[in-house]
Formats: sequence, C-alpha cells, structure tokens
Amino acid sequence: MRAGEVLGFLGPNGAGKTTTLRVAAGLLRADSGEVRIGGASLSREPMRARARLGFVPDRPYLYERLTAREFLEFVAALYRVAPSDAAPRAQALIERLDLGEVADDLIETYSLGMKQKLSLAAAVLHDPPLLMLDEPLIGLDPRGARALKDLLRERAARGLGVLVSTHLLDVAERLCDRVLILDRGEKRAEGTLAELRGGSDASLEDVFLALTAHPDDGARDSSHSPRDPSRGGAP
Amino acid sequence: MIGALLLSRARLARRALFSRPRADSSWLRHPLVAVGIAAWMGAFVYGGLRTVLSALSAAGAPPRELAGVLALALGAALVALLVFDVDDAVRTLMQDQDLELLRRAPIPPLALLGLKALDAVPRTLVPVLALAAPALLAFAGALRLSAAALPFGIAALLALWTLPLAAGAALALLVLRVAPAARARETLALMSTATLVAIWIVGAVWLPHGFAASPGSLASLHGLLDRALVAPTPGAMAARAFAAIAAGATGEALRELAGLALAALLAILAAALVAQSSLVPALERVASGVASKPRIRGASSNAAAGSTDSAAWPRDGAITALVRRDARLLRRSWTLLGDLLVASTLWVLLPLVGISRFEIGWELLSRMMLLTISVGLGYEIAARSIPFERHLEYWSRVAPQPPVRWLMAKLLGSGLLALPVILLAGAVLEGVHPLSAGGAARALALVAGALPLSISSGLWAGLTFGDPEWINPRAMLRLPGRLATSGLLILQILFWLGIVFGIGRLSGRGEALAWAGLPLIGAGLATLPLLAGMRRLESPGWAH
Repeated sequence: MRAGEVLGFLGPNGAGKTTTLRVAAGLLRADSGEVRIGGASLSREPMRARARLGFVPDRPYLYERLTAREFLEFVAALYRVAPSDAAPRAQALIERLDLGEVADDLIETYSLGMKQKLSLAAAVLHDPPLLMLDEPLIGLDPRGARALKDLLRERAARGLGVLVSTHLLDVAERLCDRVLILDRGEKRAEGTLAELRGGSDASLEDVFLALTAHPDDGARDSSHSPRDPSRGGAP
Repeated sequence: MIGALLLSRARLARRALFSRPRADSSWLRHPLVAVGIAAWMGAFVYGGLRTVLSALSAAGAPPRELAGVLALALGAALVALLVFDVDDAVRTLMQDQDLELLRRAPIPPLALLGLKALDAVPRTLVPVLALAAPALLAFAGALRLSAAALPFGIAALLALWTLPLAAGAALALLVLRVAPAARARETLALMSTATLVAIWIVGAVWLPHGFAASPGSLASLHGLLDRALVAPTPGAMAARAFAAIAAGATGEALRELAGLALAALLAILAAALVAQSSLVPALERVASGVASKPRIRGASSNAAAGSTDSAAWPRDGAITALVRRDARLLRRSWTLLGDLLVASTLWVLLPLVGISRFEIGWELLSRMMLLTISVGLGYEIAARSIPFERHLEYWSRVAPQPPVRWLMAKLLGSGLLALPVILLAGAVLEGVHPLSAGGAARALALVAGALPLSISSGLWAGLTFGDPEWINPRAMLRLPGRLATSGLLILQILFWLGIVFGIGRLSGRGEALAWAGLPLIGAGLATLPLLAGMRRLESPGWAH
C-alpha cells in the first residue's frame, strides 16, 4: 500500500480477498509472510500495528443493545482516543453518515446499511493511517454509498491509505487509484487502470475477466476476454 | 421436489455424523459426542429408576404403584419435551439457514412444516431417548414384561414424542406471529428455565423434605403415586397402558394407547391448522426481524453525549470501558437477569438435596449454601460473560488491547455482579437464622476463596466452549462445555468441602490461620485457568 491512495482489491468469488484482509487485520494467522501496518509488524508489535489500522469487516461486529453513541464511546476507549478528540469526531461522523436521528437508539433497531455506516464510523474514529474495508457498499443506499466514497477519497487526499475489497468493478474504476486483482489466492495484476489496460481502451471489466479466466471456463467467457493474457494481450 | 429435499437431508446427516471435523473445530462438538452424552444420560435414568422400581417391587408394592412412579417419570419427561420442543421449534424457525430458501420455493406450508419436523428429529429425540425410553425400559425390566410389550412401548414413545413436538410447534408459531423473534426466544428460554427449576425444587427439595417432616409421609406417597396414575395426562395414559400389560389386560392397554394416539393426532392436526394460517406470516416476521423491533428512544445513559462536549465523554481506560459496556448490555437483557436470579436461587438451595437441615447444623448448612452459590456463579456469570457479548473474538483480535486487559475486565465485571448476589443470599440466610460472628467470618473466608477460582474457571470455560451465536440464555456454552463446566463445578465444591473438613480437624490458632488462608488459596489457584484463558485468547485460528 502506498500512502495517499485508494487501492481496489478485486477478485472473483473464493479468490481469497476476505481471507487476505482477515490476515492483515490479525483475525487469522498467515501460513507464511509478514503483515506490516505503518511500519509495525503485526506479529511482533501487534498493539502498535492494530492501533494503526481501521477495519470494516464484511459483516458488522456491533453490540445490538448499545446505542451508536455508546458503541463509539466504547471503541474510542479501546483505541485510546482522548475524549477531547473522540467526542467531536464521533459527532461529525454521526452527522456525516446520516445517523444523527438514530444515534441514541439501540443498534438492534438499525437496518443493515445503518449498521454498515456505524461500522465505518468505528473504524475511522481513531483516524488510522490505513483503512481496510471488505465489501463496504453492501446494504448502503445511494446517499450512503456516496458519503462512503467521499470519505474514502478525503482520507486518501490527506495522505492516508485506503484498501477496498469490492465486487463492484464500476465503483473500483471510479474510486480507486490502483487496483490489485487476486485469483485463487495469487496476485494476477496490480497497477493503475491505465497500466492494466496496457494502452487499450478496454474497460476494467474486460481486464478483470481476461485476468481471471481459466481454461476450464471454456468458450463461455471467451467472448468477455478480448485481452486474454495467454494470447499475448495481457497487461 | 420433496424427494430432492429428503435426499439433501440424508446427505447432511451423513456428513454431520461421519465427516472428519474441521481442523479448527474441537472433536467435542461432533454430533456423535452428543449421541454418546444422550446414551449416558439414558443409562443414568434407567439405572436410577430401575433401582427405585426394583426396591418398591421387593418391598411388596403392587404394579399399580410402580406404574404411578412411571407416570411421574413420563410426566416429567413430557414437560421437559414440551419445553424443549417449543424452544427448538422457535430456534428452527429463527436460525435454520435454509429457511429463507425454502420459504421462497414453491413448497406448501404443511410440507415445509413436515420437512422442518424431520430436521428437528435428532434434536427433539434426545429427551425421548434419554428420559422416556429408559423409564419404560426400567418399568418393563422391574416387572419382567415379555417382548410382546415392545410394540406397545414403541407406539407409546412415538406418541409421547409427537404430541409435545406438534403442540410445541403450534405454540411457537402463534408466539412468533405476535412477538419479536429474539425476545420471544429469550422469554421462552427463561420460562423453560423457571419450569425446570420448579420441577427440580419440587422433586429434589420439597418432596423429600415434605415427606421427611410429615408423620404420615408413607400414606402421602401412596396418595401421590395414585393421583399421578389416574391423572388425565399423556404420561399417565402411557403408564396405565403398561400397568394393564403387566396385569395381562391387553384390551385395556390398547384402549389407553388409543387414547394417547388420539391425543397425538389432535396435536398434529392443531399444528397443521396453525401452520396453514401462521407459518408464512411467522417466517416473514422473523425474516424482517429488524423492522418488527420497537425503537428505544433515549437509551443512552449519557444524556449529554449527543453534544460535541468532550467533558460529557467518560475518561475510561480499556478495562473500565469493557466493564461499562457489559453493564449496559446486561441491564438491557432482562431475560438474562431473570435467568440469573432463578439460577441463583437454585444454587443456594442445592445443598438441601438429600440433606435435612435437622441432620447438620445451621452454620454448616448456610456455609455450604454460600459455597455452592459462589461456585455456581462462576458458570452463571463468568462463563456466560464471554459468549454473552458475542463479539469478544473479533474485538480482542482487532483492537490494540492485550489479552490480559480483556481477562481482567471480565474478572472484574463478573466479580462486581457476583458479589451483590452472594451478599443478598447471605443476608437472606442471616435473616432466616443469624450466624455467630465467628460463623459469619468463616463463611466469608470460604466465599472469598471459592469465588475467584470459580470466576476464573468460568472465564476459561466461556473462552473454550462459548457459543457466540447463542439464542438461549441457558445454552451460551456448547453442550460439551456445559458438561465440562458441570464437572468443574462438582470438583470445586468437593475441593472446598475437603478443605473445610481438613480445617475442622485443626484447632485454636492453626484453625484460625487456615480459615484466613482460604482467600489466598483461591487466588493462587485462580491464576491457572486465567493463564489458560490468556493462551486461548492468543491462540491462532481461535476467532474463525
């Protein structure tokens, strides 16, 4: 990851995106290799590394019988954010993510989209250098999706890193500075959209399908693979 | 389509029973372990009842009185079955992952109900195999019934299984149609706990002590058995059928069994009618559970938290924040609080089982009562505090807090909750019969020794066996965990009783020093499960 960029993490179902993010978040231990967050090794300096990461998992881990405000208060204490910083930050996030009206309701009354927004607010409350999001747009309405994308772009503009795992190629195309395509647990490609296109006018969808096509997919996908790497057209 | 669905069920059952467990899951969670536990419980019930029935028979009791015992046993099994089946039906309707898929498929409600009943067979059959079947076998063995009684037994068991299952499913559907699913589930679980505790208190405390204290106890017992046999209940009908078989009156046995079968058929009919009208609405209500819940305004205790004023935010460290969060969650979970109160009563009364208060002194009895509640709260509070919050696994891995802080917070929170419960129990006991100053000090020393060990053992059990997906407050640990915890509780009680017995052999200054040393022993031993718990929190692959 580079500072100040939004990196799109793409791959077909079962490619290993969620597993990779869970390893990076410390939820799973890697078979080999090392995760470093902001220069801190997750295995050797776990507390320092965790403090530098904000993670929005694929399903929100919230306490149903707390209110949003109480939950953010709890997360602020866990991440050692001083109340003088946490209170205004939490309020700003609540307003920005359109949670003001329900901030004192129990989370069990929230819709999936509202829970997703709260999960995002909790992940950025301590203003981490790196934010990782696993399918963050699931359940969000258009307004919520826009608020999320704006927030991610702003963080990148402030020099912070954002890693977004998504299935939505059009979102990745518009939101991400670079994309990394994962397939069957291996990196297939990484670069800016222009680099991946290799000078052609192919869409990200074309590039993605070409890079993740397999021989056993047969002719079914060949119509979608104008730049099949095996035919020498791969970026 | 139904054929394909049945085939999928057969595959699932085969894989559940015979597949190797995943590398990250304990063998204790294998279904065959549950089968083994059910078989062990069945053997236990069979052995106990067979002893009672054989003793009565040897004492010259007529078969009718033995049938009265059978009626009582089957009645208790039926209550357990009904409670268990309502609970299970709601769980199935709320939790089964394929329900949404099946609901959208073109399957009529009755077929869906039948399919789910089939899914529930392994779970609902456990009380039949562990309670009702051993009771019938014990009766047949004590009266040396011939193999010709076997078809009657199978028919009776089938009816005794079907009746509460159908009635439970109908009741569950009606409840889910009107009440929010999660609350309904927890309320039913609390009711089931209260029912079982009531049965336990009557069976283990009231009946023995009532009979022991009454000069006409034997006559009362005869009367009770007679009433149990003539009662218009399914358990009594099955018992009367078997009494008739023992007396060689096959026609009467058939009549009783026909009555039982009719009751089962009526229950099935009722379930079918309710399913026809309520299954789809209930499932829709469960599926849209979020919208059905009322919004709670002003839930925050921090009224000023809505402002950006940082002074309104507590300056909590991580441990305080964790304790505060648990307190908030618990305060809003009245079903768990109710369950805790019911269970606390049970733990205080436990020493009365098999002990007449006239046989031992009040000081020793009250000390034992405080000991059992101190040990019991290790399970009731500490073990459940881990799965209670559901997301400890996630947050302890992601947040920059070392495992020791999570454990210390749980230890502190559990202690803060347990202490008032124990103090309340102590105050009640003191009110019933005041202790001397020395007696109170000795009881206090015992509690101070037992509580840290029980809480730390409970935390270890919660970390090892906790089920974060729980929906029944009584079943926050998986079944092997509940059994392991029961073993731990018994070991702790025996350990402390042994210590107390040993201290009793001392005298003078040595005795006083030994009592004063109990808290140190407890604190020292408590470090072992805490260290094991810490390792558990740090172990790879624990979270997922």
